[in-house]
Amino acid sequence: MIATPIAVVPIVALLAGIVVTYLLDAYSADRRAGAATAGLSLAIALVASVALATGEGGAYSAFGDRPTVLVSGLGTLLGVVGPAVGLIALVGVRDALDDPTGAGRALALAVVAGVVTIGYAPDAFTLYLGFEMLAVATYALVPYAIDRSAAVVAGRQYVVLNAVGSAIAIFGIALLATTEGGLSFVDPTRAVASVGPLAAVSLVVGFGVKGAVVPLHAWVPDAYAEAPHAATVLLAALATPVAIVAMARCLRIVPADVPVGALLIAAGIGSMLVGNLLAYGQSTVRRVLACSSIPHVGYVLVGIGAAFVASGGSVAARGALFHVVANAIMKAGAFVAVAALLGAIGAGADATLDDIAGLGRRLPLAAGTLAVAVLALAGVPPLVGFWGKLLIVIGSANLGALGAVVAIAVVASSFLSLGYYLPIVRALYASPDDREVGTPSRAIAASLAVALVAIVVVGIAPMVGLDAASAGADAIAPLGVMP
Amino acid sequence: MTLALTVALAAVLVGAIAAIAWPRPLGSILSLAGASVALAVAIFVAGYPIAAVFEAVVAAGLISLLFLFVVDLTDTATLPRGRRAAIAVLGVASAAVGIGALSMGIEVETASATTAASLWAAHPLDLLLVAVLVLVGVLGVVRLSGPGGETA
Repeated sequence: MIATPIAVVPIVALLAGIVVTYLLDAYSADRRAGAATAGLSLAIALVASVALATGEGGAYSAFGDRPTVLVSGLGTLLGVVGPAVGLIALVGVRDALDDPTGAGRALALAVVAGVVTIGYAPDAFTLYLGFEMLAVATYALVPYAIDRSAAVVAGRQYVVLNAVGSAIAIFGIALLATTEGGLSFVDPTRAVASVGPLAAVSLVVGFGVKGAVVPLHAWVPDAYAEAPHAATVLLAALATPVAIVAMARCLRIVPADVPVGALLIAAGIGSMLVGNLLAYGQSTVRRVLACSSIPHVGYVLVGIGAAFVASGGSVAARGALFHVVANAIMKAGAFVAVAALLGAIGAGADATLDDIAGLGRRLPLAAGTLAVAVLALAGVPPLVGFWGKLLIVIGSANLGALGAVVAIAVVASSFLSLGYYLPIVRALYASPDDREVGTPSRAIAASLAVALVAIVVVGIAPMVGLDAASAGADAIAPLGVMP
Repeated sequence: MTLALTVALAAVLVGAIAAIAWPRPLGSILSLAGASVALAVAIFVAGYPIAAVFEAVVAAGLISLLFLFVVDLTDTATLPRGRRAAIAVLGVASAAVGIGALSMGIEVETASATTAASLWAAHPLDLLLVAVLVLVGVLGVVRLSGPGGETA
């Protein structure tokens, strides 16, 4: 047990931020007050998480003996990444969530609150509450543009599939609750139980829907393309990969007689293959980036799967967690850059490569960020997207033939993705353009600069991210078996 | 596992599959709501009353409401009478299974009402999260029923 009440600050600051931001946005004539409050709550959560990362970890109990939160490397990692991405989204593309009801910014904060709660949850039930917070907020964010039928149809598909996924996820958690090990992450045990296989499959399927695991990915292209830019940033950078982290945390306490690792590796390789093929078939920039999220879920899955197969392969788990962080940075940069480019030329969600052709010279920061982000997504060294994949391959090396399959799949998927990422770079810089274009706001320029610097700096000096991922990897790596 | 838990979990699976497979949104909503009620029962019987209350309030109630709003925006066509009857039967059956299992579950857990109360007191963060989660759901409904919805 730890004694510092700072442990609850990240979650409480965000929950309070949701309430106060909504009240200000709904009832104050000046929307800047709501925006400032949202930014302040994100900043408090971020700073508190940094402070917790420098201290001793452990469970903290607000009242009595029962843990209220569990401060671990994973918690502080998500406690920093979540609010940081939230700031990039809300500061950079804040106009996208400005609406007369005043609900948009509060819903975006709820997504971040869900992510942070998943990180600090002391048991599977609290984790599920965080997951549901994230899910319910996105149910309204995806069909946010309710005057466009395409957005509403995308929202309906998203809500149907993900609501069923949530029900299946808590079904798996309910099964875990019946086992001897219970739901605790503080002192987890994995007693063998007959419900193990059904619980494992339920958790993979339930969290897999939100995590866009093939074949549960059908909602991705429409939802990512039709949601407001800020919501797409939160979905792609946080909600989707963090759902896989939530899955791994719960699978960690599934009874030990279940071959979870092989299941995750199979799902991961399927996600790489199908996601890449889907991305090739898309015509708009946003849909290409949307489908390209699916292979990145695959990388995380095979990393976690390799750790489970090896019964404690911490290198692969570190690689998976590092890639979650890298994916957050790269996807945030890519989608904010797309928002800046499309906003400057007045294009909508259906903008194609032809629409952004030649903007590299007119809008150097936005185009540069998009170009660097997609190269990083492809895994080009030494950018930030390279290191997680490398660790996953190294961590799988001791798995024999299965390790070779994982390595080939990761490398082949990375090369395959160049086929749809490079045309984006070529379109941006290949031909000169003399169109009239708008100038991105200072806020979006600041967000782009932060994302660009993070992609390059964390790539060139990955030790900061690797240390943080190493500290958090234990929370998603498999446990030993209790006889 | 007790009989109540087995029945409830089976109802959850049937409801979840029906929610995906049902060709019309209204049937999906009813199936999902039924599955959520059954799931609340399963969790209650498993010994987590706070989670059961959450599931019943948020999943069966709030998310179904959000679901209805989203479906309403898509202006779904009126269903034929036969389909409506089948949906009604499914909804009633789901509710009957849920309520039946609930009554069995209550028999199992009747003596632990004090335990349930103390669980609420011992879960301050969970309580806070559920309260804000309900607010977030309401905000979702506020947004989806806000300006612009009529033109979808």
